[in-house]
Amino acid sequence: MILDILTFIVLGIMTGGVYALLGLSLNLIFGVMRVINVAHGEMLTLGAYTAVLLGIVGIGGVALPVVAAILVVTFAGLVIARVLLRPLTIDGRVHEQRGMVMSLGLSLFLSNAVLAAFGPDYQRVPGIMARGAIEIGDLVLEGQRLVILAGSIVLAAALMLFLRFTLVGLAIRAVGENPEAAQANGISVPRIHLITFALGSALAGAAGALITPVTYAFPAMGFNYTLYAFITIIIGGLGSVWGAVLAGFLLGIAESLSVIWLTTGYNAIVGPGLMLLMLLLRPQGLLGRRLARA
Amino acid sequence: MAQLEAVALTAGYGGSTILNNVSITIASGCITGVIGPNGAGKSTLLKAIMGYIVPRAGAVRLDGDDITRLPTHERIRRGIAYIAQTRSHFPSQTVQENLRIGAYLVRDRAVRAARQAEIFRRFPILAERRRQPAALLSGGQLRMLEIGRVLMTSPRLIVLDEPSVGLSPALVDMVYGHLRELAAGGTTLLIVEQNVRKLLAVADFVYALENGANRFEGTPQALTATGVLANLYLGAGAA
Amino acid sequence: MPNNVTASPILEVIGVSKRFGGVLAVDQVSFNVAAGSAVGLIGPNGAGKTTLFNLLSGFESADDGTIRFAGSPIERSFPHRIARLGIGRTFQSVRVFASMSVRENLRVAHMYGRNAGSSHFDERAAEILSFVGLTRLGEAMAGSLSYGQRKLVELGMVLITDPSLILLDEPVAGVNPALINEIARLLLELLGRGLTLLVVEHNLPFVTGVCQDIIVMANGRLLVRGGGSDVQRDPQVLEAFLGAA
Repeated sequence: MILDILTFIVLGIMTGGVYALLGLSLNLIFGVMRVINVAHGEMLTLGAYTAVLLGIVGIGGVALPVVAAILVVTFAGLVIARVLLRPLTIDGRVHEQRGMVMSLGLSLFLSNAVLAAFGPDYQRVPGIMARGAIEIGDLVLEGQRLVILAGSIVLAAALMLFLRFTLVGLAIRAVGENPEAAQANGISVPRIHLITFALGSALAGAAGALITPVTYAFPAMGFNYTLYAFITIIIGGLGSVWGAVLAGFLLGIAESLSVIWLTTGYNAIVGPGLMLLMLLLRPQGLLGRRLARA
Repeated sequence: MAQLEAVALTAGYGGSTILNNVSITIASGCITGVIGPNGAGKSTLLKAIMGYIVPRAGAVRLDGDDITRLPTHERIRRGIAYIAQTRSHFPSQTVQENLRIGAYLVRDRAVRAARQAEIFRRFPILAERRRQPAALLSGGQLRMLEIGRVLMTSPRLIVLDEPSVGLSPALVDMVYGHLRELAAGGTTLLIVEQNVRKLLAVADFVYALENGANRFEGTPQALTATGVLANLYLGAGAA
Repeated sequence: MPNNVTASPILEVIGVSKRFGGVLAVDQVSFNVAAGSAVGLIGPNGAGKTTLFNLLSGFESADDGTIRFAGSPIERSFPHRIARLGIGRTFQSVRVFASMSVRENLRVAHMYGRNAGSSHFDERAAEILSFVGLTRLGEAMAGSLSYGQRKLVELGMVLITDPSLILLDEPVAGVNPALINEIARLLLELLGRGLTLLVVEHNLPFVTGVCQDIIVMANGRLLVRGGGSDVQRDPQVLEAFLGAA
């Protein structure tokens, strides 16, 4: 029994890493630009299909698909931010309702574009990231899932370090906190928006490339991940970087453990259920502060 | 040295027009003041000068170049600095980070370090609190932080919107002391003020706005000699 | 003209103070307002005028002192109760419901006024629309009106609650000169019908045109009270506006 629980916890940590990454990247976009990006999951889809495409031409492994996904989705993110988001931006913030509606349309467009290009079939990436498994006592840790966890941690850490220690990271945080004051310091808010959106989207794309070896890729896959990204940041607290990380792992573990008591079909209620609970009991999330409007 | 002109500015928000054909000239190396009762258009004038709003008519010129439609961050790049009336800082960042943001456009690390050292010398309390979030600073300390932040770029022209607001008389004196020093060092200042007496004591030239229009321009002495002040704030029929 | 306290003043403010953190926004302020009079409240920024209005309309509660409206104490009452008692208030930032028509705005206001239960809404609404000159625009969306027109809608919303005292917070800020005169005319009409007005404004000619009686506040305290010309010529008042040297 203990072994089962431990196995599930470990599995949960592994999925949690992806949730944390998704939450972090969405938090970046929402926290800085105040746009509710319903198409965030589609950035993951784009990354996943980049890996699929590479797999089709015989390129596998870990690093290459992830790097390719980052490049592709960065480009996509820059285009989206420049062409679709900038016209909706007033005084350094994206118009909330218009941004959300636009992203909804974008989500539909992208998932259907992928459908048109690749067809409705589930795709598997033929290459394998890592063979075998590590065994700790009776606990078996699949190599592939370890790679995903490691990848998530590396990317999340890279983002957090970037935000904390680089000048551009500081500018991003400044724009998120007070766009007018940021402008008064010579920071170009439109340019920072581009960078932020591209960065957040690229991370989601990287997550997409990381998970394809263990899950299927299909055109509508993004929606679920968008949902989980939002649940993660709501549980963790809007605007809190560590909150997204903590919530991501908690969510992964909770969802995984729930399999013990709920049949597989029903564990989908865990995420939304936890979110509801959090909104009722502690609306600002685990580590959230009240986001003040400048 | 900077010379800035606002020429025949007409500006407003939504359906209303706040400024009507307002012109002011800021001579380089001087302290120029703008006063006027509430609703006269002082803040709107500053926003147009800084590029937060685009005027419907008229122009803003810096050293003769038209900057009317230039985005705010570009104006900062050209040597103008701005301290808004409220929330001109980043509360969740530390004092040091606030100064670092102030130095966003300064590439040379040695220059940044030298300027920061100078700011810490001028405002020792900021040095003491360098690692604390700006949200913990008092009103006066925040003003010091804002001035320090602005000095990181060594601007040619500093625009201040009501620097005395929310400060005790002693702190207002302190702030104005620093402003006088900066002006003496050659920096041009444009100051919009509520506290007319304080401003008249330091300004070289003053503009008075009323209902979005120019009402008076001249030296502080000339202003006090006329009955304009009483009229401006207390309406016709005042002394 | 000095304040004439007639039989029983409609509003009595006695020793009212309000503190925010370390700052005394309103400091031991006392004054009465006679029924049917118009009193102007002026003063430099930060003098405490808006805080005082918030105390009178129930949006803040006083730390000290008493406020009596028609004899009953209201210093601890909630805004909706104060509205029911007959005090109406307009705001500096015009608060109308942009996505509703002008008439619907009046309807909402009517629901929370003194005659909430009454069925005379249609008549009252027509009367008020005619009074403020917006009869043609009754079905127009409030959000599509000009700034000045929205101010008139807000005035209409206050009037439909049938108040006996109206607190007006900068009623002509940002309004074009022609409309300023119109609003002054409307207020004088209301005075003629027996309403009491308390007006915060920075536009001195407007205030002295509507109010015979002016109170000057500075630094949270009541500085001077008197007629328009007395107040304008008082050197203390000018000093208050120009700030400390």
